[in-house]
Formats: sequence, C-alpha cells, structure tokens
Amino acid sequence: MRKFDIILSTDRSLMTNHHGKEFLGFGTTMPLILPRRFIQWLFCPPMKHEDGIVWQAPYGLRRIEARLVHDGFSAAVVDPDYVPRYIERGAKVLIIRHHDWFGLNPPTTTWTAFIDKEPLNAVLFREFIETVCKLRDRYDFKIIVAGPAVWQWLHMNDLIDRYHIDVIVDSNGDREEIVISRIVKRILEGKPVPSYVKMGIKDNLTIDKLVPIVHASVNGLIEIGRGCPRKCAFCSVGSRPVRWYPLEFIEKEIQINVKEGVDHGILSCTDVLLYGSDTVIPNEDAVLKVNMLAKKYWRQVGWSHCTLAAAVANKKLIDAVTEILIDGENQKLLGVEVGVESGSVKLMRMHMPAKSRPFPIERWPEIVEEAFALFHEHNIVPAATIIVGLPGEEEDDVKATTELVRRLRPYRSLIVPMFFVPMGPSRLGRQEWFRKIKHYHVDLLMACLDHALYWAERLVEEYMTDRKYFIIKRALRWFLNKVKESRGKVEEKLREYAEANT
Amino acid sequence: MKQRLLIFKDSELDKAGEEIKRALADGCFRIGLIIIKSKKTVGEIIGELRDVIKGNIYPSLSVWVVKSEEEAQKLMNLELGELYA
Repeated sequence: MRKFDIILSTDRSLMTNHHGKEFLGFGTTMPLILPRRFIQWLFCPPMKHEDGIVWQAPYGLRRIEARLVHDGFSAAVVDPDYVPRYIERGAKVLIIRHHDWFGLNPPTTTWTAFIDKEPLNAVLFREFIETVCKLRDRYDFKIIVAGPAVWQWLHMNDLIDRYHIDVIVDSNGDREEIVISRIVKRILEGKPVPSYVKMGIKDNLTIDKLVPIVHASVNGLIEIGRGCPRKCAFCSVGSRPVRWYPLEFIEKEIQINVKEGVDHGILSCTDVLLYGSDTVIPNEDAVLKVNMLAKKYWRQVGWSHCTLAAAVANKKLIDAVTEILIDGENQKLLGVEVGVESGSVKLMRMHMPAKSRPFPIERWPEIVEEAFALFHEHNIVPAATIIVGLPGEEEDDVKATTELVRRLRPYRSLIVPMFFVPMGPSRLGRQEWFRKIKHYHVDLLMACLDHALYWAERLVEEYMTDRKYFIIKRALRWFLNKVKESRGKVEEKLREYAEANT
Repeated sequence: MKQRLLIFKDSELDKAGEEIKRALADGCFRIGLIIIKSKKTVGEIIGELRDVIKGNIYPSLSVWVVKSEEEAQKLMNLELGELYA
C-alpha cells in the first residue's frame, strides 16, 4: 500500500459508476423507503479498486488530483472505505468533494418534502464524515471540502464545527483545483488558511491553466466547457463566462479514460450543442467535430446537458450529430438532461429570459414541444427538469406548466419536478426555499409521475440492452411496479399535504 | 487585481456587508475578511456571514478566522492573489 500526503475522496453515493449507467445515479437522492442494501446495490455499487486506489472517480476529484500531481504533490483519489487506512499511513490533507452533502439539492429536497426519511446520499455522507472525524483524535490532518454544493455548509454551519472542517472551497468549478493546490501548499508549510474561500467572476479560470486528468473518470464523463450564455437567475453556472476547451485537450482526457478501460463516455457542459459557439446559435462544425472525436474512441457517447432552443435553432445539426452517435449497434439512444423549468412565459421572462434565444421568450412552450418532438424522432431521450415554486409563481403559472407536461406525453422522455432551492451563488441565492405545495402543484406533480410511468418501463428496456443488465432491469421493473401500485396512494397523500397548507 | 483585507471582531460581523460594498466600489475584487474570534465558533461565524457570502457573487471572497488581534495584523500582509494565481 502506497503513502500519499494528500488523499481525495467522497462517499459511496458518488464513488461508484452506477453500474456504468450514469442516470441511475439519481437514485441515490431517494429517501430510504426501501431496504437500504437494495437501493445501495441498485444505485451505487462499490467501485473497483486496488489497495483503495479507485479505477474511476468523479471528474471533479480527478481535476483536483491532476492539478496537485502537476504541482508536485503526492496525491491520489481513494475509495471512501480506505480513507482511514491512508490517514493512518500519514496523509496530511483529506479533500472531499460532493454534489449534495446533506440532501439539500433540488432532487433530494423534493423527495424529502413528502417523505420523512433521510435520503441515501445524505446518510452515506454522514456515515463517511463521522468515520473520518473519529480519526481526528489520533491523527493530525486537515479536511478541505469543495464542489458545486458547498453552499450547503453555509446552511448547516453547526456541522462545520462538529465535523472539524478546516477549509470550505466554494468555487463552482472555476479555478477550484488551483485554489486547492495553493491551500494545500499553505497547510504543508504550516501557514494559516482561510476557513472559507470563494472565487469571484474576475478570477475565472483561463483555458491555458487547465491540466488534463491523469486517471479515468466515472463513466468517462469529461468536461468540454464551462459557463453558460443564458444566465438563468436560479442557476450558478450562468454567472461564469463561457469557455470551450480545445479538441486536443478533450482528446487527451478521452484517451486517459480509454487507456484505463472506460469504453463509453459523457461530454459534459451546460450545452453540448453550443460547443465552440460564442453565441446561442450552434457552431455546426465544432459540434460535429467534438462528437466525432468522442465516437472515434467510445462505443457509446452521452451528453450531460443541452438546451432545447439550441436544438430547434439548428435541426439539421440534430440529424447530423445523431447519425454520428447513434450507430444502431453499440448505441441506440442518446441521453441528455435539459431544462424545461416552466410552461409559464411570465416566469420564464422573469427568471430566464435568455432560455429561448435565439427565439423570443413568448415562444417558449412551443419551443419545448418542438424540441421534444425533434428529439423523439432522433432517439434522443431528454431527462427534463421542472422547477416548482419559483419566486413569483402563481396558480396560472403552475397550470401552464401542467398543461405543457401533458402535451409532452407522446415524446420519449422523463420529466422531473424539482422544488425551488436558492442555490448559491446564483441571483436567486437569497430567496426563500419552496416547501409548501398547493392543490394545483399536486396536478403538476401527478402529471410528471404519469409521464414517467408511461415511459419508464420502455426506457429501461432501451437504456439497458446489454445482457449483463438483466438483474438490474428486473430490479428496476419491480420498483416501477411498486410505484404504479402506489400511484393512487401517492396522489391521496399529496392532496392531504396540500390541503394542510391551505 | 486590487485587493482589500478587512478586520472584524466576531461581535461586529453585521458590518461586513457594508464594508464589502465599499471595497467593491473602490474596485477591489479580491476581499479577505479577517475575523477575530472570541466567543463564536468558526461555524457560527460562517453562518452569520451566509447572506453576505451568498449575496456577493462577483468578488473573490475569503474568510480567515484568527484568535487574536496580533494574528489578524500578521495576516494583513497576505497577498490574496497567491491563492488564485
């Protein structure tokens, strides 16, 4: 077993490849309504490792690891179960990165609004950090926490003391790796370090400072750009300028993954269809090139996110890009997350007027339908989010969204309602959390559930074609049947809940 | 990039928001808050600064918690750019 000065880790909800199916990762936000061993096996099985050195690790941890190694530190990403052993062997700094430390992000918040049970990801983090804390009495090491959800520590600030967190790095991904490297240096030199540090917009990372990852990332997910031109008020990514990574850099990261045995991957950014573009109109040549590059190396390629307006803005590009990716043999579908957010033009204009560009915001519901139809035709499966309880929301806004969701029924997709969370740093970061549903919200939530039940079974079949998924598919089908059986009870509960709020 | 370091006692954290505004108006986009801790814990200090932190999405902001005025003065030599460069 080797010795490292710096170890990087996270809990099991993220240190897993979700059986090679990234979308199953959403299951880790589920409260413990089913036996824990079952949902943990289904959504976050252990990662393969050698002496605790993991095969694949979350991309954000890989980026920090790459920077630390580049700066001359001895650092490695280790499995959470092995963190105590590496600390016993003398690690001086533990860096933890997470997406949802306490189950406060929109998916988990939505579940837990109705189900009085702790979500799996929060349980796993709590157990992990408590194990780490017990080591504090015997070993001298510092803890740095980082990642896009560190704003949650600001709301759970008593835990900063309880878990002895030394430094909170709130970077929203930008320059995080550089700042952490500087802080690690200060720690090792015995200099004071900040308890909290945040990168401002003027300290954005420039492309020339990027260091490619040195080991495989979970499901081959690699970043191809940062920032977003649409600048929606609820989202923190939009506060950053758009920067696209050069193809040579992307190729290096794909090659590292392939070399370490990851034969599929995900291109990650806020809008893959805007890769290489300075505007909200796709740069056709750049989008085709980055996708061709990925498909040259990988059997299956997914996209993390794209926008509906960009798809509608260049429909021929959708033809061309799906022709590259969906070969019918290795890949039959292309999964991607998209933001529908609302069917209300009023709310869209208020909080995200650029979401529809290059089209006027008044056309938003129409653009959503057009994009869903286009995706359906091209075997692109959108997992769409809806934000429930945006500031300024009224009954008519919710009704407009419910109607839109119902109109989307013919198109293969999932539509996930999420309660508004004032995520920081965003322009709505200081607004109130949405917690209390009204009767009209129940209609919306049920429309989303009905949409999911309509498509989910077929999607499971099409998403998991390989024979190795036989047992997982059975488990998912069993779970879906349970949800179907409970549909009536769920609605009843929601109506009771809404009634109590009026 | 211009920087500003500001020292506060943990009993006067309510002044931080105004001081940050002033620093921004002077063109300082790297701001370090040096907090002299007496009765409050680090968690309590960060919690009290939550709105200030979440409300300032433009500057690079850091919070340094020290135990004495002397330690705070030593930190006044900090070059914040070292953290970000």
